[in-house]
Amino acid sequence: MLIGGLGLLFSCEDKLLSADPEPTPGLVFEQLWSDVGDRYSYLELKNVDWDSIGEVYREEINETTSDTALFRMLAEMLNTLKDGHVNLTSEFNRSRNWDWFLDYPENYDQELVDRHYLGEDHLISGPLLNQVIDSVLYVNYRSFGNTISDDHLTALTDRATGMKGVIIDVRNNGGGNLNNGYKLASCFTDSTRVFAYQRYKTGPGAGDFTSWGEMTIEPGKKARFKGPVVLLTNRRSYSASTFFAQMMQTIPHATLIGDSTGGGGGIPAYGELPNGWTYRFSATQTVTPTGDHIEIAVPVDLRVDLDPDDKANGVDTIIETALAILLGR
Amino acid sequence: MVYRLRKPCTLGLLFLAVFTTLPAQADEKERLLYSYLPGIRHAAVRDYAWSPLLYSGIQGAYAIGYSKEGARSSDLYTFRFAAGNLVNRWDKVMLPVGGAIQTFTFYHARSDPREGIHWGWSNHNAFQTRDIKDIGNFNNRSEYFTSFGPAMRYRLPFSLFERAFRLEILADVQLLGFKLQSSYVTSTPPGFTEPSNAGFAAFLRSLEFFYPDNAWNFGIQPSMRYTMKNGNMLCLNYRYEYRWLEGAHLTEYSSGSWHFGLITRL
Repeated sequence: MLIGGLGLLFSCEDKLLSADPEPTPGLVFEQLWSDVGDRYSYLELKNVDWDSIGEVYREEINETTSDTALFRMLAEMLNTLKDGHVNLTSEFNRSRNWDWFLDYPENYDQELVDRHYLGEDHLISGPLLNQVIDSVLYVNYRSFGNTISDDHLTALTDRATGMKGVIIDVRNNGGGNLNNGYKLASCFTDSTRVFAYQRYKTGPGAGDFTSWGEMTIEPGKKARFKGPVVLLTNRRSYSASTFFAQMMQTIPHATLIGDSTGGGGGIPAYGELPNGWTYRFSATQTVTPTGDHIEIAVPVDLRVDLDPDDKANGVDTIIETALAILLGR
Repeated sequence: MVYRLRKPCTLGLLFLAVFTTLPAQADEKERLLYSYLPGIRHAAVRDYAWSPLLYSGIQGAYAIGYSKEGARSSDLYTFRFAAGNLVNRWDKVMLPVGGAIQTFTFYHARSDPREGIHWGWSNHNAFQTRDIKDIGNFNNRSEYFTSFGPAMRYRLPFSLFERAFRLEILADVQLLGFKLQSSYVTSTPPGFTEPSNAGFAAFLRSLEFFYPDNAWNFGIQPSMRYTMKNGNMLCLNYRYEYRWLEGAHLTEYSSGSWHFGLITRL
């Protein structure tokens, strides 16, 4: 009986912890504003007065604020950070900031690439779509979220053997898993290279960061290509694409053309609000060896835009420029 | 306030942890093996690095134990493990996986070891990792602690329908030790996020004192034993445990585990 009694008592283990906070609009706002204020890594760099921004929205939110209105206001507040890695997700929407590419030329047309460059007979080496064009291997990679395996890289570099160069096209590649960037870059470097420095938030203060730590690329053990490489980027090359572009910037025989990447140099951390909505925000900083934040962008070596007339004629100006560089035209 | 351990103190505590898990000097009269069937654990956890919401539910729980019962003192060694999804009020899923090695030593040189209250101490070594479904980056958060504190055992033998039963209740409070927890934003402990630290130095830099005010851990474990004719025992065991760990972020944990098992005389 004693065991049973104790069992009944102790089957309420969760009741012995404090109750969940009530998901009132005010509390949801305070949690989001407070956590982002403490752990977002770019408030100082972006010169954001988060306290003032909080005051504006705090006045507008009250206990009668509906979910849709609350979401809209929180999304607007987060939008002031102008960061593609800052999102609020509810069951009915996901906030996003697209300023990092909306104000710039598109510079990419998938239909154009599919019809006139990849063609029907391109090879699909995992996520690496590839085609030989005039003794140059053209590689199209749509998302760093798609896993590159060692076999994919071997297939790629085997096909690149004897080619006059390789074009890697990460235009409109919004990012994904950075490990895929490391893998792909490993094919093109013959030595360990420091491509960036990174630090993490360690506390709520503006200067609460770890020291800067090196980020390096290592040469691949098997799959390697030692010839010239041209990387194509545009403003929609974001996050892992930006990191990858910075990796390639450190490789002497690599050239970046197109438009600067969209940035996204902070790795996002996540949180959950009392009403079940989730959010993410940049919690790290990354700089080049010369101290420039890649959160803003990784610039190209040669600025080239997609000419509308070329496009109308089935010509991708940026790919053609890359071919000209590699073929010495 | 959190204090970082200096190397000598850390090494000292580590030595103490190893030394005190060795068996005490007991009169070795009886050795028992506790073999528990897989049980269930009702757990609730809140990790403020991720969410202010409580995640709770039923997990699978596994345990095994060994004891040496002497005239002057008794030692008990237990290993526990539990895993399984927990959910919050919005049906979001978290997967905590955790285990512990806990030892108890009770002294009863001046009392009957078969009944009554015996006092002693306990060493608890526990870890837990937590994965949140559907998020990336710094997803896994974890902690580990080694601690020591007083423990009590109460035994009440009785018979029912001419059969021998025994009620036994263990209780422990962890007071001092060290812990490691995930850092302010990353999954790894803070010492490992600092580039100047490497290997064991990073581990040492990650250690924090475990003491009341920044960490609480206590447990109570009632069990009912039935002695069979062959001298072995069947037991029904419940263990409640509470944890509160203040690191870069606060985590709190409350769980109750049920096991049915066989205690074998070796």
